[in-house]
Order: sequence, then C-alpha cells, then structure tokens
Amino acid sequence: MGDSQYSFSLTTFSPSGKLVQIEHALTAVGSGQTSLGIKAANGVVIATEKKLPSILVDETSVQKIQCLTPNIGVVYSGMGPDFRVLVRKSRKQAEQYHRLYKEPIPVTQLVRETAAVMQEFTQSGGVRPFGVSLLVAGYDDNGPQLYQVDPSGSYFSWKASAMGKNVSNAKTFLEKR
Amino acid sequence: MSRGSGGGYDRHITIFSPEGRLFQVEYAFKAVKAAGITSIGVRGKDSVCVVTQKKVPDKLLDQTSVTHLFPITKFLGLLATGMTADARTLVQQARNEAAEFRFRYGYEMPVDVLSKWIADKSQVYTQHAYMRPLGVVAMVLGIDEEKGPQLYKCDPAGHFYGHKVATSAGSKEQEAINFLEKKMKNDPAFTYEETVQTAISALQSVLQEDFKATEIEVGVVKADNPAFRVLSTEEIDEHLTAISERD
Repeated sequence: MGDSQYSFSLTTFSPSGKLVQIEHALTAVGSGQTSLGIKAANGVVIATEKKLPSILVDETSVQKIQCLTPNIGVVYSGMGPDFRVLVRKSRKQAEQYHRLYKEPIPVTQLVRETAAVMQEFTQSGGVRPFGVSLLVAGYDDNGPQLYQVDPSGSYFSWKASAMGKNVSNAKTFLEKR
Repeated sequence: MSRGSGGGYDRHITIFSPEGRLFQVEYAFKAVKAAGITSIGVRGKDSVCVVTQKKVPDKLLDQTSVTHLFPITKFLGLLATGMTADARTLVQQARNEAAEFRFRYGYEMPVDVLSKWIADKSQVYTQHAYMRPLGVVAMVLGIDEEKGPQLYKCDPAGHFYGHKVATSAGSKEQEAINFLEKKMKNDPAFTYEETVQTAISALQSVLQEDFKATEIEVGVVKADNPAFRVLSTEEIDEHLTAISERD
C-alpha cells in the first residue's frame, strides 16, 4: 500500500506515548453530525442527523444509513467519503464470508473485520486513519447487537451510544433512560 | 521525526491536523476558486443545462481548444471547474471507466454511478499521502433511464450530491448558490428554454456582466435527445437575445 517513498507509517507515537493522528481523527468525528443507536430487547435502532449543505441538494441522493447485509446496518459520524470506503469493504467481506460458510455473517465477525481494516490504516505506510466512527446495528442468532467502532480500530458493544456533536448531552440523556 | 504529531506536515500531505481537519483537501478547494471561473448547473423537468465562463488568456490561442466541458460518453457530460490539467486526467479516467462499464454490464453507466466513482477516487487521494487531491469540482449531467434528468456535483474531498434544481462551483460559488436558492424556493419545473436561460442569466447576474456568446460555454442534455451536446455560438446567441428581450 502506498508509494515506496511513503513506506513508513504516518501515524507514529509521540513522546508521551500517544498516537496523535488517531486523536485528531477522533476530533474530526466529534465535529461531525450527531448519530446514535439504542439496543432494545427485540431489536436495534440507529438514527442520525441529515443536514445538507443547501436546499438545492436532492436529499434522496444522500443516504447516511447503509445496509451491509440484510440484517446488519451501519451509520457514521465524521467524514462521508471515508464512510463509503468502509461500507464497500465491509459488504465485500460479508459476501466473502457467506460464500465460504454458506450462512450470513454474524455481527461480531463483521465488526471485527471492519475494525481490522480501520486499524490497518493507522499502521500502514503512506495513509491516514479513517475520519469516521461507526455504529453497527445487527440482528443474528445472538439477538440484537449494537457496536461502536472508532478510527483506532477498537470496538465495543453498547446498550446505547452516541457520537458526533453534542455527544455528552446525548449520552447523559441515554444514561438517564 | 515529528511527523506523528503533525509537525507542520499536516499542511503538506493529507494527514489530520490537531483540529481534525485535512488541510490539503481545504487547499484543493482554494485551488478550484483560484482558477477564476464560475460555473452553474440547472436541472429542469426534462433537461439539464450547465454553463461556465470561457476565459481565453491569449488572443493567439485556438479558442476551440480551451474548454471545460467534456463528453464522457455519448449520454454523459462533465463540467470541470478548477485546474485544467487535473480536469483532463479525471476526464480520461472517467471515460475509461464509463466505457468499461458499458462493456461489462451491457448498459450505459448511470449519472449517479459515475459520480460515485469519481467521488470514491477523490477520497483515495485524501487518504493516501503519495497523491494529492485533484483541484477540480466536477458537475456530471445526464438523463437517467429511470429517474429522468440528473445533475451531480463531486468535490476534491470525495463528497458528491445530487441536486434537485441547481448548483454552482468555482470562484463565485457561494454568491451563485445564494442567488439560486432564492429563485428555487417554489421548486419550479423548468422547460428546456427556461433551464438554459436560468443558467445563463444566473451566471450573468452573479458575475455582474453581460456575456457575448464566445465568452461562455453551455452544455445540455434533453429527455427527447439524451445525447450530451455542447451548444454552438449561434445557439448561445439565440438564448442571450431571448434573455435580454425578456428583461
């Protein structure tokens, strides 16, 4: 990946042991439009703000919530173009799993593979981390599931979560309920 | 090496700045504006029209070779605002992709699929350090078999949007968008003549000058003739006359 002149990672440790590019990526996510997800006893809901730059834009041409498989959906906060790349890769991974095992991919597996892609871009040469956090909502044999994946590639399962602008207000609201 | 914390390199290659911004992408937008050209696209109920300024910097230049309007296939047109050299690369790749699509799938590449492809390619340049983003905003137009006339705009950041009625790009982009938003409040459905005249008069009003037919380029697609066409100087003259008579 990358030109030979850039075969070193751009995401390197700072003297205090932090990966600063990932932190900047999280800042980019934090200034994106708010999204949130809630896991119920019999399903999962994800939602996001859809504010378009002008009334001239055709809102049907923009879809922030995307389907990865018939039973797994995803929403993002952060940079739309980066999100499209991840959706495309995840869909392919889900299809490859299905081709090999002849069954739909479990939510945890798909989340793990997507997170692995995001981690790759924090360590490979000549690339920057993805500027998106994902909320993956799915329903499989283990019931309803909700995962949040960060630009670093770490993921956690949540009962409810929010990301983007005003995330602290959103999380306080969700915690109360 | 201070590369990890930015250390000034966040302005040189596409890595994040401390505020989570990509400076190279923002500079690419500035390069589009620095070209000094404004373009406008208008979508009517059965046609789409794009208009751009044609600035020929030297009288000795062959005017026919100075263009920002490119046919991608017989049915898809692309208006590239910004750096001409980057535009030509993009057009070349788009033509290749559209031709392969037609060969592989047996039907013409739709407008939104081409726009998404252009936008995805632009996204790659924003994530890989070894290639800079292109300094071009591309407006793609065509007649979709199912959805009718379509107008999409793709920018250096990798965003792409479909536009219901109109959009703009270039140095006076914001003024043009403000002007068009006011006009489009009632969601009008323009005929072909109205589409072309709205586009041309919007450009004239935003740049505050009246054009001669040789100073602008106009490209159209119509539902009854879905081939992408660049209007000749005579046709542009007719529209300009119609506008000045109307006013």
